[in-house]
Parts: sequence; C-alpha cells; structure tokens
Amino acid sequence: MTNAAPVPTVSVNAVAKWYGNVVAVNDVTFGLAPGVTGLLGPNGAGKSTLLHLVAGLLRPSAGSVTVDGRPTFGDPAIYRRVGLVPEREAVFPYLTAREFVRLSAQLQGLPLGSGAVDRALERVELSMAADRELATYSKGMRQRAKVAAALVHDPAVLVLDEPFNGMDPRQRLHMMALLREFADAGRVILFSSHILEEVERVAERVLVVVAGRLAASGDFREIRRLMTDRPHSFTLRTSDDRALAVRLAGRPMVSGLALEDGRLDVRTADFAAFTRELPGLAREAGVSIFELAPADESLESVFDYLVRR
Amino acid sequence: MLGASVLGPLVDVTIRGLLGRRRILLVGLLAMSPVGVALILVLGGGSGASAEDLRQLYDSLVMTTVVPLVALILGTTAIGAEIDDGTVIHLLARPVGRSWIVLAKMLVAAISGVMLCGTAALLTGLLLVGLDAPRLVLGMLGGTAVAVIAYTAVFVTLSVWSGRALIVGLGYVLLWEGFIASFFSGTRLLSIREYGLAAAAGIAGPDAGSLAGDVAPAIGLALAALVTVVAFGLGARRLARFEISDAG
Repeated sequence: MTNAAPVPTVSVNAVAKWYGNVVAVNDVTFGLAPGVTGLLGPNGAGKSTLLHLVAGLLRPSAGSVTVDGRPTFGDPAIYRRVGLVPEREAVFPYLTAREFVRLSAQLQGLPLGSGAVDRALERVELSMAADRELATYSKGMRQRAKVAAALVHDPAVLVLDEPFNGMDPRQRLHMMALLREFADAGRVILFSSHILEEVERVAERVLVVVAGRLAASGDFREIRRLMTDRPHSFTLRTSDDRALAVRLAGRPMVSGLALEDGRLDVRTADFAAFTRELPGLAREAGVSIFELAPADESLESVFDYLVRR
Repeated sequence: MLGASVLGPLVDVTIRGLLGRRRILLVGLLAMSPVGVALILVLGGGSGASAEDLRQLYDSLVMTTVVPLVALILGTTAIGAEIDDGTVIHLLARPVGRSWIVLAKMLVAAISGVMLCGTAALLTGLLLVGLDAPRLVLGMLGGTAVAVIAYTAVFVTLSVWSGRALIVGLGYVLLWEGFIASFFSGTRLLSIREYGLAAAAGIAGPDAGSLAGDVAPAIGLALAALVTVVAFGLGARRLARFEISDAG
C-alpha cells in the first residue's frame, strides 16, 4: 500500500439535513483524523444520512462538509480522495467482480495495467471468485466486492456504511484487519455499524448519533469518564477486600460498595478522585490490589446510557 | 475530474445493463410490431400494398406508438432503473463529470433505439414497397432516427428528474404526442413526432406524399436537435445536483 499525501482532513461543521418537516441530522459538528472512527446509533438515528453527507451524496440543508477544505457535495473530484462503500446491497448483477472493480478503476482513471484491480480483489480475498457474476454472490461476497471497488484507487478517506453486514465471522475479522491496516497507513476511516463489539474492536474513536444529533464523540472510554452525572463502577480483586472496603466507605467520592464472591464492586461519582486516592487508601490498609477493572466501560454501556439519556 | 476517457466504460456498463434486463425483450417485440403488420398486409392483401399504405402505417403506428414507446422504455431503463435499484451510486461516487454519465446513457438508449426502430422501419418499407420507393424508405429510416434520438434524450432526462419517469413519459406520449399534437395543428411545433415526420418528408422528397406536414424539414431537424441538446443539458445539470435518498 502506498502512503497518500498529504494527511486527509474531514470536517463536518454545524451540519443539518432535513426533508420537509423531518429533521434527519441536526447541528452536527465533528472532525475526522487518520484512524478508524465508528459511527453508532439506533435505527433511524441519521447514521446513513451523515455518511452520505460526508461522502458528498447529500447536500447539507445547513452547515458544511469538507474534505481537505473542499465541500463534498457537487464536486465529483473529491472521489479521487474518498472511497465509499454504500449500505445497499445493489451491485451490477451482470458484471463479474473483476469487471465491477475494473469499472471502478477505469472511472478513477487508473491505467488498466497497473495491477490495482488484482490487488483490490486480493485484499478482500475475492481473487478466486473474481470471474463469477455478482448475481451469483452471497451478501457477504457482494459486500467485499463493493469494498474492493471502493479501495481500488487507494483513497485517503474511506467511508463505509455497515460494512460487516452479511459477512461470516472469519470475513469480519479479515475486514477489521483491513480497516486497521488502512488506518495504520494514515487513512481516515469512517464506518457505521449497529454491532457494538465490532466498533469497539476496530474503532479508536466513536461518534454516537441519537435522533439526528451527535450525542458524544471521541474515545469511548474517555466519553464514559466524562459522564459525571452517572456513577462509574469498578471491580477490584485484592488481598483483603473487606479491609479496603472499610477504608473506601469513609470517602465522599464513593457512592456504593458491594462485597461479592471474592471481589469488591465500587461505585464512584468522581472518577478522577477515585483513581487518585485508591492507591493511598490501599497502602494505608495494607492491602495489595491484584486487579482493578472498570465494570461499565464497554461501548455497549456507553451507548445504552447515551441513548436512554 | 475525468473526461472523455470514461465514456467507453460508461457506455459498456449501460449496454450490459440494458441487455441484462427482461424489458429489452418487450422493447424488441414492440419495435418489430410494424414488421408483423406489414407481413399480414403482404400475405393477406390481394392486389399488394401501396406506398400510401406504408405512409399510413409509418405515421399511425411507427411514429405515433412504436418509436415513442420504445424510446420511453430504453430512455427510462438506461438510468432510471439504476436510480431505482441503487446501483447508480457506483457511478456517482467516482470522479466523473455528471455530463459524461448522462451522455453515455443517452448514447446507448438512442443507438439501440435507432437500431431497433430503424431496422423495423426499413423492413416494413421493403416488405410493403420493395425498391419501388427507395427515398420513402430512406426517409422513414431518417425520420425514425431523428425522433428516437430526441425522445430518448427527453426520457433519460425525465428519469433523472422524476422517480415516476415511466408513468409521466407514458402520459406525455399518449396525451401530448398521441392526442393533442395530432389533432391541434398549432401544437405541432412542440411535437417530437412531427419533427421526425418532417425529417422523413424532407429525405423522401417527392415520395413524401401524406408524410409532408405543417413543419418544414429544416425546422423539424433544428427543433429536434434543440430538444436533444436542451434535454442533455438539463439532465447533466440535474445529475450534478442529484441526492441519494436514504434512511437511517
């Protein structure tokens, strides 16, 4: 893979999109840096609308979306820098995968002898089936063919709408590795998914969209920490859970304690104070801490909280 | 942004898309219907068919029904079907000028329409008058080509503007071309059918007979060219501002 220069910038500024009286996306602002960003949200939250706005296939009703400073809508030239994998399964059924990817390469102006088509097919592990018509492909194979067509020109920005749909577990792992490989080469990857585990495994950052608004953005562990109006939960395994619990019970930042089956569960309303004071309290109690793990930092927990709020 | 080099791949995928759809069979049957009628006339007619029979068949069947309907199906299938099934996104998300996409769709729809309807016009003419009136048959061929090109340009553009292009186009063919423009002479300057007939009469010369209408051949040709160019411009302009419908 060659490194594209310069570093791509994607900027979404106060963007809104409405259809008549229906507001699909409302006042959303974020920027994308190289790496993988996951777009999360319940059905109908506006994820696809946001992706299509970023990919230049929708005109913002208000605000702006730019790639490298250029508005994405109405400027086909941006597709030299942007690759899009749409959610809809539709592909040209009468083309083989090789023809489909070749068409994409030709429309990107790539010379046919460059080997880009074969490389793209190889990347998505479709080389063996490349000469079969897309009509005969399974959903997961079509998905991979779309990915190959989107990355044939080695785009600096890759936008994928539910890219793991229809893939079996092995293909998912492979696709995750591919996205990571792209991100490591300095690409901007933005993908939507309703499967939290996938986002958690691949994305460094998340954008959580709820009812057309951006509910949160950034590192999801960081987001969780910033949710100060909800206590954080930790699980501790120590040399003496009861002794540590006595010490913790006297501290104002601790809002709940439970001794359960060889572990100590702690709830705190002040994440910073808790992590700052815990080592000192353990030392005073003569307790060794073997394990300290956040109990509710999973992306699912973050997502549930933001959606319910 | 890429230029003429993308025309070949766009034309190629459009041709395969047209041939890959079942409605192309319907178009073929429809286009060849005048040949069937001519065969019936030839086989059933005792004293043989006349040039006037051919002119009437051309006017009332070929130009009033077959050409506009064939152009309607080809024009709306060329890009409308891709918009309907979502595959158009694979063309739009590429650094390709939208005018090249519209041009490719119009070229394929027009050339396949001219081939189908032109073949039908030629065979119909040869069956009915043989080589007795070669200018009339050539005129029919030319008039058909002029009408098909203008119609397909209009219908490709209609597909980009409206999700109901087939219904709107059918309404236009039946109401405007089939009824209003046929019965009200004042509207003939706004009828693609009349442009085709004018071109046919111009080429047929002395053989034109009843094909010669209210529109002069040069005017008909110029107006057909104008309609085609305006339709292309409007189609390209619309596709440049085209938004993908979505959900979620």
